[in-house]
Amino acid sequence: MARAKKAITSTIAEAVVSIIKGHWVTLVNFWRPTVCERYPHKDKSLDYKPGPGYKGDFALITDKEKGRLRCIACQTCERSCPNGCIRVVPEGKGKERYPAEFYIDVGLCMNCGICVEVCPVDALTMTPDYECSVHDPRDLVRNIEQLTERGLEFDEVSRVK
Amino acid sequence: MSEEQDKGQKEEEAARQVVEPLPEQIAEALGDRVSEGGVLDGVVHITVPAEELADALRIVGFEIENSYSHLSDLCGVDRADCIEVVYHLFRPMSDEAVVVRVKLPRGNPQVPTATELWDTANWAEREAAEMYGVTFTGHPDPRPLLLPEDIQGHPMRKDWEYPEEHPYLSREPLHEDFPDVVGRVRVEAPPGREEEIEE
Amino acid sequence: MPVVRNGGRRDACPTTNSMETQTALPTEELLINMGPQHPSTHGVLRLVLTLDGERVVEAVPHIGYLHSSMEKIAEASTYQQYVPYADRYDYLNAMGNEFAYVRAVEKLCGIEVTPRCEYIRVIMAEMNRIASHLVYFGCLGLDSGAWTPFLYCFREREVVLQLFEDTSGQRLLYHYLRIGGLRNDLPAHFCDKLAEFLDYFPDRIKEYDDLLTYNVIFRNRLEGTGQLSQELCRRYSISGPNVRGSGIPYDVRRVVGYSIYPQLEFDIPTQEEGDAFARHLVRVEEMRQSVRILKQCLEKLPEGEINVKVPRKLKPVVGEVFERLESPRGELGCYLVSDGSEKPWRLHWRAPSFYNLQVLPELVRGAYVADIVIILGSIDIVLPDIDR
Repeated sequence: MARAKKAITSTIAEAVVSIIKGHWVTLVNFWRPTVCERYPHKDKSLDYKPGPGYKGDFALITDKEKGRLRCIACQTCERSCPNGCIRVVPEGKGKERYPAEFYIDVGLCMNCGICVEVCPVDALTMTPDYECSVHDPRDLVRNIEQLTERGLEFDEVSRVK
Repeated sequence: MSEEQDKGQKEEEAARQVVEPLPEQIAEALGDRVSEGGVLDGVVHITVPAEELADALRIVGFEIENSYSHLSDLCGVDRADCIEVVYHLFRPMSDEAVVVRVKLPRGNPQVPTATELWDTANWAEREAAEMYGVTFTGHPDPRPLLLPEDIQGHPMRKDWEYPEEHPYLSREPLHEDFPDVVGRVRVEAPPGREEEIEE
Repeated sequence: MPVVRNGGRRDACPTTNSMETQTALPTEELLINMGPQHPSTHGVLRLVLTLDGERVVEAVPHIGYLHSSMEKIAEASTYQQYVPYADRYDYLNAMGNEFAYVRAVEKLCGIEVTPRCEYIRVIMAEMNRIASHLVYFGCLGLDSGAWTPFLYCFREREVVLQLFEDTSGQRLLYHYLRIGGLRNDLPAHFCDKLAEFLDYFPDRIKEYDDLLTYNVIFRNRLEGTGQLSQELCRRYSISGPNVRGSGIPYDVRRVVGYSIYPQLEFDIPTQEEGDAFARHLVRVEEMRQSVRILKQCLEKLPEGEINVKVPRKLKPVVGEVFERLESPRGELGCYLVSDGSEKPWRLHWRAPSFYNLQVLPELVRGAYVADIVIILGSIDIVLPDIDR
């Protein structure tokens, strides 16, 4: 169905009205508060802090009473990762089982959070860190020292409240 | 899970598999063109031989009363023993569906095109053709659609294997602790700039 | 001659002064490559255009630059593992894709989810529809040369994305829906924040209309451009706002009535004209209807559990299911075949953009080169959705 053609006078009138309206909208928005932020800040404390439950980098939680990692090296996370970006090397048997090595390839990870969910002892958490860029992709593989150090800040798995 | 629940679930599964006979309207219109047919969960499933497909689609899609003229989807499925092409037809503005399928041999699957009935079958058939190696006879534009020109074989077939050599993707693991993670984009320094990257 | 620009452009070629000048000057058709790296093709779409002067004789789309084997990946991962992948092909409608996939698996396994879960899923899907239409609105403004609406639209979209981030932990690719439930319940401030947004958002839509939709330059550019007839819609299985812009009230939410949509009141906006402006009006009105749906959902949102118990090793019965949903771009289908094992035997996406884009050569035939951008913008495609 084609649209009806308009007379030139009504087109001119419409044009004038629409231009005035458009300018009015931009004028109103000129006085609204700005939403853009300059990034990155020189002062890191001004950076955006994501809320709890954010899916960023990884950390392994240390059980502070026992003084060791919570992880029991059951390798459930390794098996359920869709991309296969986790490697756990277990050591010891039964209750003494612990991870000798724990690698997460963040470059391969797609931040789905399945590994955190399937963990039976809540040993793995995702942190609010979102600045992960490096110069070499090989630096994106996190090892157990890095994961443990980052996890010292966390007592519990970061979850939405 | 308790035994009773288990039993109940099995009965439920059995109930889901019950196939009702075809509705009269479709059965009469198609006659003996149908090799298998039935209604499952309210959806009409029809299997036709490849030579009858064009007729069957025309009859179901346009000739019967209240025809199923909305071709929602067309895709191939590898059924291990054969290659299937599945047509999902719907009545316009309703949820009543007919699933027409045709079983083809793995060796040289050939099926008449549906582009004369629906122009929208064009790309879907091109996709099925390159992914499963089905030849749609009479197709107006049988070029590959999504895949690169130099690919070997038909990747959605179950027996397709990842090629040993690839110009852009590396078979060598990037990290020694992830030996089976291969197929990433090559990270090699351009000639003459190795030292720059090492630093 | 102002009336020529308003509607009647595609009717006939502009008459030259005399036939003699036309025959005296040798002319030939020109082959031009548009894309894949073109700012207005909304991704990596390549169009090979045959031009006669300024007009398009033939356009051939070349796709596949973003092909990522989404369907082959599904055959190698378990049912739970594939949910985050469903986000990744139509990234503007990530919640809707998860919704389609999760519903298909639940139908196959016979899982019933809780009422609260259904409501939250619909809230997420409708919020995603608003976010997606805002991107469309801004980008169509960019395509037609208006920069400001884009900034305003992204400001409003930011509110929606922030709510998504608070809920699911990610801004674009959420992985929030699970088979049989959700990742977590809504955060404490969610309902208040969303209600606040819904209060002021309809006024903002009115502002955008004043700024862009009813601007005479924009209207003249869109009216009569990309005329999509009902016959074309039928032949090409067009769905979504495109088909509703041609006067067919086809909306899967109403036709199939999945989830809790039958209990909600909303209109299906349609326009009769079938040109780019009609499709634009339909999308703007759809944002208002989404606000209406969201308000009802917040009102009715029941308390209770969100998850039902699902075995970790999910093994559906042997069978197949074709689940249809209304995505912001049209009819989204998920065809899932199970062989009774932990992994899907076959998964096929009925991607709405894939079917909608096919009609592009028909729409641009005879149009000006500059109009291709408008027509492409008004069909509203997402390239990863096409290539999968």
